[in-house]
Amino acid sequence: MAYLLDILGSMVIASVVIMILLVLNLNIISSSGENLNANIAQRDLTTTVSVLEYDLFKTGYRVSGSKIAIADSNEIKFYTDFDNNGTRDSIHYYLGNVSELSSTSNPLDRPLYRAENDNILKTKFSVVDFNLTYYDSIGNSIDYALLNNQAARNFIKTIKVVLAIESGEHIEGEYQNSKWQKKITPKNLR
Amino acid sequence: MARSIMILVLGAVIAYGLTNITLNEFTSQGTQNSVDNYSYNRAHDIANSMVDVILMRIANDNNYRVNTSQTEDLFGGYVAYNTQDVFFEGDSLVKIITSANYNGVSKSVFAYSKIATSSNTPITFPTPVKAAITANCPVGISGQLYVDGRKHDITGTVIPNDGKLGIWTMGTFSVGGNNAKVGGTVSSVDYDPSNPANLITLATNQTWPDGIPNTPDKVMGGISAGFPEGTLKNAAISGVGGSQYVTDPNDLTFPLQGITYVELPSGDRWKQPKPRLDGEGVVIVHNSDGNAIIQNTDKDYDFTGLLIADDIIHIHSNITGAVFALTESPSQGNVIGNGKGEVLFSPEAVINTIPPIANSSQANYGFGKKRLAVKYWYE
Repeated sequence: MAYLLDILGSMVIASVVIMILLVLNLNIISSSGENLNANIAQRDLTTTVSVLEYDLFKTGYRVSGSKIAIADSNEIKFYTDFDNNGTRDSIHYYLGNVSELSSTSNPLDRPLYRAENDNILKTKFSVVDFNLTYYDSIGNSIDYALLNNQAARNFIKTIKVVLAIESGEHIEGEYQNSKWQKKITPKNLR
Repeated sequence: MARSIMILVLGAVIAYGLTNITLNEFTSQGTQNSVDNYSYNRAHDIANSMVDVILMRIANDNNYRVNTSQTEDLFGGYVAYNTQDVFFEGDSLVKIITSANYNGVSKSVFAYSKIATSSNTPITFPTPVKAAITANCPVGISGQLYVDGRKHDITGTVIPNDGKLGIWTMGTFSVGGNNAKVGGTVSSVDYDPSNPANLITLATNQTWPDGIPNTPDKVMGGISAGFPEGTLKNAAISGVGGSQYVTDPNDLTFPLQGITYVELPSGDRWKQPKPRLDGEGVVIVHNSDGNAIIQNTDKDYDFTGLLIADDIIHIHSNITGAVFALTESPSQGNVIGNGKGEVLFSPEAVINTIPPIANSSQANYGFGKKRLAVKYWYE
């Protein structure tokens, strides 16, 4: 009888231990997945940001005349001598539609396109938010409606960029996100 | 059974350990991303700051150069830098090259600067001035007005084949009588003033792709030329180079010099006493409503420089330089009218009579009159 009780007791304890280990394992797997997704989102963000910063700081370099051709809340086209070869280049950033990134389960992510010299071959970044605000030389934001006019675009001295990225796939319904914002004052927009 | 549990626990511990290591790696990568990003920004700031430092050194001493690369510690990192005298984009400039390193991350920046002092940097001719008479509205001339867009020196002598149009207007052009004459230069060919005017020396129904220059500062080229809004008015108020700012033309002193800014009440006209364009520089007749009028300039006086006015009625003076009418809705339907004077296009007269205000507003560094103008910045 005592032997039987020992076996039963051991089985109960073993079951509890196994359950604890399983739950722990599941938590670890979940946490690991979240961490991986967050890491990917952050890495994607820093990659996108480094490209964006690299471009925006060069706005207007070796360009005479109009330096910004399009300035909208989620689109900008500007001129620069990107590769410093004496020839004017254009860089165009604009947001695509959510439907253009349907390969991921995230319903909010959409492509942010970067076209160089209006080339049909574009770089594509996955983002959930890309917002631009424009400021004049004394720091007043310029109304988007005014920016249809080149004369108003010539007043742009500072550009604030807000960029948000989420993981393409979710872990337990959660998409890992990463956000960045910065005011960039290209020195050639004088 | 106990052995099985032991194996299970051991396996779980190993699995946990491996997962934990992986998790740590993810966390480290995340941290490394942040550190790299911070380091890049820091290196970027250091490189830019060093350019600023060198610009200040050159501003302090025009002969300061670093021909062989030197390194300095700055803001926790270090930066290598040198300077080169270069001919770039058609200009003699100083190239400043910096390469910063912070926490193993590098960033290079270079900038081109013009070494300029008020005495050696010429003021450039304002690009919106496209003819002897440039107007944002219809132009009508009659009487004996003589408009010559050929290039003249400051004394009024023709310099062949280097001038501009006689008249450039956003509206129409009309000429009355047989005595008013218009001439100019097109494609480096001079056309003597004639009546009827040679149509090739006129540009009518023109547009401004980058916006209408409807203020004096925009006529001077606006922000990009160193004339943000208010520059001319402030210069006139400051008295630089004999400049004057008045709201009543009776308060002017003669001869005119520098910037003469007459700000009239809305719709008011400078007519009595006769507007005396006597002297040189830039004469501005303007108000914020864009309807200040100058009428019947005094024929007994000559003027050398640029006349900018909202609404111009009857030029009777001799002007060597250029004329610019700002309004799109002139009080008499067009500007100029039955003038009896002459307008001789002369960029030299315009450039040489403007005090060095553009330079000082464009300058970025230095003290007193030692100024640098940064032309290009690649970061």
